Amino acid sequence: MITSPRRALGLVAIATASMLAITACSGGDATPTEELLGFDSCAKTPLTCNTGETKAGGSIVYYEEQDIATWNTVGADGGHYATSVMMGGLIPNVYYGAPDYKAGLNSDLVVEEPKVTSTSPQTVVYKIKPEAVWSDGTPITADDFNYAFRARNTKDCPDCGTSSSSGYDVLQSVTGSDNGKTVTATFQAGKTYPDWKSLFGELYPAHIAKAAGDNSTPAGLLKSWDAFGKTQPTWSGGPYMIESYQEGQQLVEVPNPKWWGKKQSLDKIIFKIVTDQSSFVPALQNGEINAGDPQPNIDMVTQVQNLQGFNQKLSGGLSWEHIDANLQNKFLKDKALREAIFKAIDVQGIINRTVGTFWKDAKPLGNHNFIPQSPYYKDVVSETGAGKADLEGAKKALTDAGYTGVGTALKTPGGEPVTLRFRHTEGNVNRAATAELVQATLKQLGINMTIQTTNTLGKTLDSGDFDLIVYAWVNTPFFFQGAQQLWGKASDSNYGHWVNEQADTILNQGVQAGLDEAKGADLLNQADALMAKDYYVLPLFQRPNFMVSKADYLNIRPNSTSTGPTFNTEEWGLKATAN
Amino acid sequence: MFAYVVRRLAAAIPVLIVASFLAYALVALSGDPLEPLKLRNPPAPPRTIELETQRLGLDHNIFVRYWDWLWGVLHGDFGQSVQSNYDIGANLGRSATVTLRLVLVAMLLALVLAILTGVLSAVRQYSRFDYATTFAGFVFLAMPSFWIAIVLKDLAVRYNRASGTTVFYTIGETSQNYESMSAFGKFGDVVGHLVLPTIALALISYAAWSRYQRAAMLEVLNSDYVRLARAKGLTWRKVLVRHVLRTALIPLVTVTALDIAGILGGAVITETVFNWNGLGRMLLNGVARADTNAVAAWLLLAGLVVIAFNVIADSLYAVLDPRIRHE
Repeated sequence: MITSPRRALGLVAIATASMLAITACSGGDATPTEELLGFDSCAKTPLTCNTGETKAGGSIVYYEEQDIATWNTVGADGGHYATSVMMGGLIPNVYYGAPDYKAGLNSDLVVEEPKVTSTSPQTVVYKIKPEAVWSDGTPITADDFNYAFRARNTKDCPDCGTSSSSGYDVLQSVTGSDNGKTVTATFQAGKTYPDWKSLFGELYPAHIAKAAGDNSTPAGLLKSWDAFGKTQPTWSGGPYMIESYQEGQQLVEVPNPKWWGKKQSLDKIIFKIVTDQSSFVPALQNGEINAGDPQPNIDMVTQVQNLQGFNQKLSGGLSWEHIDANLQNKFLKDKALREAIFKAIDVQGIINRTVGTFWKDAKPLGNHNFIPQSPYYKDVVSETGAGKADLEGAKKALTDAGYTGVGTALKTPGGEPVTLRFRHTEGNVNRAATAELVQATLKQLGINMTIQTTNTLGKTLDSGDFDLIVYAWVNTPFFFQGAQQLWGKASDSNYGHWVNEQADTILNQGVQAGLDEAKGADLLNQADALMAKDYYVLPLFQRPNFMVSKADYLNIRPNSTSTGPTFNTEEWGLKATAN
Repeated sequence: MFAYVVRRLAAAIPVLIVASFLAYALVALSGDPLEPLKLRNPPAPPRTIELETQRLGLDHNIFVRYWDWLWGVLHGDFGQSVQSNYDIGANLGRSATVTLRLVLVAMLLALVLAILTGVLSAVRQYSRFDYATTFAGFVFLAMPSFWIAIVLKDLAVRYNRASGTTVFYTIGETSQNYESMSAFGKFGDVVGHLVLPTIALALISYAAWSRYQRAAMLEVLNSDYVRLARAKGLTWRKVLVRHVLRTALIPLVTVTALDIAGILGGAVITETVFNWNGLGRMLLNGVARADTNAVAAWLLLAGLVVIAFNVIADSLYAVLDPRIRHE
């Protein structure tokens, strides 16, 4: 997903280890030690930092920058980060995005890690906990999984608009057994879906859907799907449920009395909707909000760092900025020119002028599919020399390729002056700074580059109305579908029209091999190395996420994934010794 | 008088239509509301994009879209928002109520302060009081409203922290536990939330209005008929209240009515800084989401308010100035 929704919806990647670690850190039972308290250790121990014993009762006011967009988080206008965070405490999922950037297994919902029992056709079996129920006492069963499948596969209900049908559209069936507590998801013959853990991340109650419309017909499904979008949920399948909602002001959640997992600590979670970022710090100081994960800027970070009694942490997010070349441009078609441009650009200099002003850990990104926190991250960019501010190397590449006027007024080997147009989103100061720095760099190569803003990024990309452009993608631990979507030669999102048959073959092999995640990831890195050598997309940096919480609150911790910090609300609580 | 008001209102209709079309077209052409959906990764199904395109009427040209919207408005339907749950008509009403509360209280405060200081400054021209209020007026005139708001918030937070109480609030219209408060508690809570944005908004208008009031008072005080009134033996208080102030209020009435658009603009900023869910947020969210129908509805309301206040100002002229009434 591009920048607009801050982080990709749906998430997750793997790791049974994360599940074990999360289980181990479950709140009140842990022995609090000084080094576990606060966010300082979150970089090293993201799953266990700020752990401690909590007392029953109390409330928290959590800052949210946007209002609830729709009650159906995966409806046509769903996929919003703030909505997902606020609804996180009531919509059950099988996997969620964990603070270590991996998939966390929701061990409250399922008995054990779901198993791929067959690869042809791909079959996954889920075992739901017998005690798992909706807030009205109705058991959570295969019917709820089946409802998600049927509403989102675009065939059973073509008019049920969904923000993503990915994975559901290659499922053949979702059936239940064992009183509905065992779910068997079977994929279509010949289809491999390596990102299967992204499925069933948002379960809506099938029995409530049934009351709104007949689930066996497209019209009935549409009715219930729309009803979920328009109706404030009175139901919950998680630790909290909605008590009240005032549009544009606040959403109040209270413990779900039918919750079968670890007992909730807080009596109330209040999501306060504050759309003005500059209000964040005064409201924290004034006690009007207690925690939040706002989009950071230098003023906010500086002010928060000077506050006493708050935990705060800047960490790398899933969103990453990059500069793309349009390979259909008559100049940029030439790899030598792209190589020179990418080698000359000073990525560290761009970082220093943008996110580096308030995030000292920011560093150049070296991969197009994985962020440094991923176990599969491999720097494939550095060895190409891209982003190193290597002006001499850039000039040599141009001279060797027969360009003239290098450093003064660059001309192609055919004698045509090189002129380029760099585009960036209007009003984005970081991207404007990036454009200016690139312009200054290219001037030293003799390239006359103009800067032009756009307020319709999608149209600009879609129509190829750019030579060079800076924007962001949001990484997702479901990296196989993302890689194919962004870099596949036939993909609509391969906006710069990069084609490398060898890389494309390896990319497809990686996706096919994806049920063995490590093997698939290795193949993706091989394809990525080929792309880096083609100087098509220059990764710049991860955008930072910011988490702040009053120090009195324990077991609340930063989570830069699309799930956000509300993945463990039942564990949040006031320090047992706090007043 | 009635016919005059009707004529003024009738003349405003074409202005409103042209203005609303221009606003509608500008917003519609400024961005693609479906961009977040189109740029998702993994991608949204094509059918979803098609359904949303149809729902928002984006498959029609701008004239058809505007006509559909206008026809709907005339029938009480403000059209579909980019956010399918967002009821534009209901939100317009609710937001207007919130903003109106802020604007009316701020205007009242600004008017009272402006008239008081304007009159006293004129009566005691070149006194210390006159110099002090002149200085304050120019300071507030020079300050951007958001800056005043931020300074006030900072002072309020400092006061709360120093006193160990929460007298002033910096975000929202009420506290999260407002519903569970007693009637007295609710009143205190509303006032605690209202005081800072009201002062911030009032100071901007006060600055200009006090200068107008002072100038108008000075002009009337030096006029022949005031001297005549005094020569006829009327008391100074009677002259001041019945002859000077009444005449000197006329320019202020004009300015106040014409300033309504500016005050609404100030309210948009003040509301944003203090996180009120009023017309300001409705406009900003609408623009951010490229929500053409919502923004057009907002602008239509703003246009109506401006026209209404201009008509009110004209009517008040007649009340204050018998010459106009007799014409």
